[in-house]
Amino acid sequence: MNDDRLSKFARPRIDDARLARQWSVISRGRRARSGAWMLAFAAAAVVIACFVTWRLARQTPVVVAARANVTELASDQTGSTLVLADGSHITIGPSSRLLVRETSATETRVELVAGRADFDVKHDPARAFVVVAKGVTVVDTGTRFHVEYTSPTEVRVSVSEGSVRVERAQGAPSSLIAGESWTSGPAPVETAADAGETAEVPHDAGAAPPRADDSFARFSAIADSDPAAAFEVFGVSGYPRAIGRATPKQLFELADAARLSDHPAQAADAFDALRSRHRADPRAGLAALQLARLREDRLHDPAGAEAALRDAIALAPDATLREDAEARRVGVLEKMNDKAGCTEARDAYLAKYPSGIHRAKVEKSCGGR
Amino acid sequence: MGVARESATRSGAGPTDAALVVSSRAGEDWAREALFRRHARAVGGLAFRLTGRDADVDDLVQESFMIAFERLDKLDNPQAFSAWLFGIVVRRAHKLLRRRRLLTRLGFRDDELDLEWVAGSNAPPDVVTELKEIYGRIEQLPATLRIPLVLRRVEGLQLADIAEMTGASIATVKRRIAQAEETLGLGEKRER
Repeated sequence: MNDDRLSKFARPRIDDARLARQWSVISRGRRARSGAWMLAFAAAAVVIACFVTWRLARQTPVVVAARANVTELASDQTGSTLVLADGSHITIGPSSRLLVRETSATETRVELVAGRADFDVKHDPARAFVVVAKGVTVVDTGTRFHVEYTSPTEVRVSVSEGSVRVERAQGAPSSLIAGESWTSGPAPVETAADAGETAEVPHDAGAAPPRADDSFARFSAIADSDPAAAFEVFGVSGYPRAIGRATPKQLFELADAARLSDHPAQAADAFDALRSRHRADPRAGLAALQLARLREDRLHDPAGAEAALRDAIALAPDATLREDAEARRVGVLEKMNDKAGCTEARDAYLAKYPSGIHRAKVEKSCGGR
Repeated sequence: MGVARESATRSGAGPTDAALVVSSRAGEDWAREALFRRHARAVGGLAFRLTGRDADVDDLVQESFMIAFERLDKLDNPQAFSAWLFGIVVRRAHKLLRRRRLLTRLGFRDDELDLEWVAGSNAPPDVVTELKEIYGRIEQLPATLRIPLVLRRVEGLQLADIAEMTGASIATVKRRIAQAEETLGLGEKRER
């Protein structure tokens, strides 16, 4: 159907009294946030209740604060142990603090703020376990490891079982296996205020320290409602620098604002940074797919699109996204006149998704079956 | 077509949306209230159909108007106030649905959609059936699929309007609607 027949009969009851209440809130210039606050508190409770299941193994860490997506924990002078819902153990050293943040169905992210902690992680391929400390990102690949501040600006990672991947915003990631350790080297003192998400910026010697400003706050406040104005917060010339110091969430916002305000090159740069710098992030797969779309549709770079699609297929956290990427790749290979590659990708798609939503289109690709 | 074509003045009398926007920009509170009263029911209806819950309507209406009034200076075409406003509603609803879906997935929020509520008591049986068919299964869809589906099948909007409201391309909108229909098993009723 294509009329408004359904909408006519699906209406809330809005009487004059309800309108008056709504207008009263609006005219006072205050957003009614009851639902939002309930959700925020609920999210905090979920983080605590679902992901942080306390066990009185020795000492229980203290919940210092709980915000929508962050729970801050601190240990006393003797240290504490907590057990996550998935069975992973975190032993927090004496007088240490950590944040359980950005927890989602596909990722548990812990930030060590001070002190040291031992992690005994129950590996789940569908759920990444990431520890962040002073710009150093440790991605679990099934292991027992230790993260420690050896000085206020230096982080040491050591592995006692399994392996981890250590990433920094700049430089190649390092893989550590059992018995190995890695030290970050001294880093400049972090000055950026915690605006809800800690920027994973490099702290290599010689790199400029992050500068605290409110550009991202201004940007994020309007990114949803006015992408063009949000883009102008940084502008074309400021985008590379913004991309360089953005968190994964901010990278996605930067990319979307650029895309929606008709700046495909900047959008592609932001998506590219997200998928290449934050490969453990659950958004990395979608970023790669978006990058491919931009390269194919807007930047007329099918080879670049094909490379991004291969990455999207590897990174995609869910089957739907992967299927989209695989179907799109068939079309891109056809555009590139890569007959053999196209046929191979087409046949692989059809075998893998016999009733896939792109089947009809894919079947006609590469000259048809 | 649904909300996006609400006339500025249903009776033909009274100031146009453009005139009210200009007065609002000049700080006239009466003009803001007039804009609110003219569009609040349509905005509430859209919010209701996007979220499927009456409890979310007030928040969405209030937030959307607050944002609209804060950003009124940036509206290029004052006569297009309603389409612009509905775009804001769609984006706010998208955020709300994403948040709600996450909490539901984590097992925290389990308030069921009240199907009897969705379809009004005066709705013909075939409309009730169709609404129940859509809303009975819509909770399983992510916001990116759910919103285009509702805008298309319930609001009856054109693909170009949906694309503008959601900030996606028409091709993407088509793909998302098709994907949503496939997921919900509504494919056989899809328009060709």
